Amino acid sequence: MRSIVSLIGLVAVVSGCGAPNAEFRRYTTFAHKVAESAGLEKGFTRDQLQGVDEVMLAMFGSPDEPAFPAIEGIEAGKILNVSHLKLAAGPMGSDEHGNPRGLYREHCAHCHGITGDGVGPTAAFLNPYPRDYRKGQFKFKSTPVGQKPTHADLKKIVLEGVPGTAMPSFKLLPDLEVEALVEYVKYLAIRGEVERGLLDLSTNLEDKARLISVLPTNADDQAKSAQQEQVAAVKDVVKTVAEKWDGAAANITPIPQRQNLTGAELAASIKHGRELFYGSIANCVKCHGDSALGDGQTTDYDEWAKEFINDGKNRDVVRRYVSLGLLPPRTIRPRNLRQGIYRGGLRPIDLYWRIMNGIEGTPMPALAANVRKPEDPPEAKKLNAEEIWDLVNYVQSLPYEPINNANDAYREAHEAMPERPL
Amino acid sequence: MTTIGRTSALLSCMAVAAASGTGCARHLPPPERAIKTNVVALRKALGSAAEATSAAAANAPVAEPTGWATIKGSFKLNGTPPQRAPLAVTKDHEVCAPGGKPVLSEDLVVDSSGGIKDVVIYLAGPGKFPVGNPKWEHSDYAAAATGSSDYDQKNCVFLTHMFGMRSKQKARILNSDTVGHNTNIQGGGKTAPFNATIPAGASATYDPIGESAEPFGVSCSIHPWMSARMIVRDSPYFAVTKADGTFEIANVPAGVPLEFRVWQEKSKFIQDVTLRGKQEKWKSGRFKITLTPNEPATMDVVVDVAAFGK
Repeated sequence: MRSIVSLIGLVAVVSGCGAPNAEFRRYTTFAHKVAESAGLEKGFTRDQLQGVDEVMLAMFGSPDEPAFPAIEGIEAGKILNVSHLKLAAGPMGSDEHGNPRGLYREHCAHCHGITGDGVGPTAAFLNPYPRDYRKGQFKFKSTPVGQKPTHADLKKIVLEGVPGTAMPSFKLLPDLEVEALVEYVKYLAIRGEVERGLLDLSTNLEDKARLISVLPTNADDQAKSAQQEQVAAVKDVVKTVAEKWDGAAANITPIPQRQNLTGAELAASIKHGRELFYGSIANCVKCHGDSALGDGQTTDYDEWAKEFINDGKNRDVVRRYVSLGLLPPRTIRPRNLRQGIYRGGLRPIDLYWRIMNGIEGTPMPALAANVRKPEDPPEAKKLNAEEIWDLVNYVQSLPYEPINNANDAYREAHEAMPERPL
Repeated sequence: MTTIGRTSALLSCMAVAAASGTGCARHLPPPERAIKTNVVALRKALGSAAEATSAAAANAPVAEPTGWATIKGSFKLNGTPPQRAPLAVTKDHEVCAPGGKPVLSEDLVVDSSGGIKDVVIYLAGPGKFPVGNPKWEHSDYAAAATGSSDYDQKNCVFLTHMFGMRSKQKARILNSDTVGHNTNIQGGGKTAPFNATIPAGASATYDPIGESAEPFGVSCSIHPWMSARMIVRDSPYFAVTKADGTFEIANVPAGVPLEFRVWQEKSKFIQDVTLRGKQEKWKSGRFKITLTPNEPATMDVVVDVAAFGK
């Protein structure tokens, strides 16, 4: 019996079986998009794409051997702890000291994909789909739309998971391993966004040209100087992306102190929050719906789909991108606030950040511009910072608010027990 | 056959299968798309460029403009313009479609003389625009270089359907409706995305931060039929055609070869044009022009309706 099993193994080894080396996948959807909008009738040429692939490999290495380019003006290791990448990269296993290897492939790649493109083998079966990091956008963070998440924001998602989705919590992993995964996600996000930039840049190239020419050893000075210009353009793309990550922590939206409320005060706060929910400034009702069931506006898409398919009405366009690897787009639903499941976390500060900053890449807008600043004239129609807490309090009370005839139910409950919150 | 015998027969079959089938079929040749020696050479080129680029920048002969000239012109349609499709207004009818008036798509608006509205023409080369360099940026543009312009919406329509601004300018986003909107600016390239609620009569400030290589979308998630386009450029040299299809870009650097790009929402980059009776191909919407100082250039462009066919 045992000999037969070893025979299977032996045959397998001798005949050269085994998985092929992992490789990063090309950003085909984005390549198609930029080539089409630049009017390249036959899309990118083989040379142009190969040029991008090779520059990407030269700068960022491969899934087994990741690298990170030096960036002028940004201290090495400031945005990315490169030594941590080693723990997350490569095939799963451990080194001679027992340190883990391949954590990303062990824990993440089956959903998020080797490339971080959000199309791992299980992705198509999940709803919502796993995040595609390559756009460099993340939803649940402490910074406004347009700014990168902080290291702590990403770490929170890895630790806590995303409730209501397939993303689990990784709290049971040692801190070092969580850190390594966060670094690796940043690496994939920066890598992906750079690839976008390089594809954009490549639309300017002649058919046979490459992003950076590969020069023969006897190249003349003119060719060398032309190559240096190409290198400078590529470095500019990398720097633009890296600088945004570098600046993330400086852009955290401050959270004002939340008052300690008595039962009656909290009830009043919830009541006012409810008025704001239906009011014309916060206007939550338009999308979250009259009963906050998330049924107000259900035909929109998120930016990960929208950047390719727009409003999704042109079925040919949708089909084309699906054939290029985009998962069949689904409309995005506003959160059903009566379930008490908050994807970005259920701490009051999480809800505060969601309301103030909106949710990047989704239709959820930021309210920050409508919050009063000291320089605003008193007649300006704005909310005070405490009123955001009223909204948070109301949102937190929604799962407990009776849905039928909510107005009456609210009043009755409050009249019966004015000192108790709902 | 005993149980053991049967199992071994089964396992032998599996051994053969393992050898001939599954695992081994996955042996892949190295990808043709990346050549190892190229990657090594590129790594070297990228690594050594830090000191080399500054040297190259110092030596590079940079042509400098010798004066200014104005570009004027128009975009006209050849053929019958397609009907503008009515948009599906699904809520807030009394504000968004007062009196049941249909709201028409603005992806291609042509006036009775054939003038194409909302074609954007913008400077795209040579190289990165040297913001603030008085040889390249005419002093007339200095005053507004960091100013703010208004971006309004009324009756659930973005009043400027194709909006151009400079990257150091700000846009004051207004809402002249009696219902709330949210303005969702897609961004792209170095341009920041933005998405804020704009209550009735209120405003918010948008800082685009950096430029975008091509126009991107602006939408309202509350009223999903609302749609517009925006472009952000470092340089002041861009224009959007008016309702009659005309445009003008004043005080453009002259005496140096320039590259402009031309884009319209429905056609995207305009490639096939007739200029002064001659057919031209603008690859990826690019045309090159070298202006003579103080001599206005006229660009009267005719675009066939087929360019908007998609």
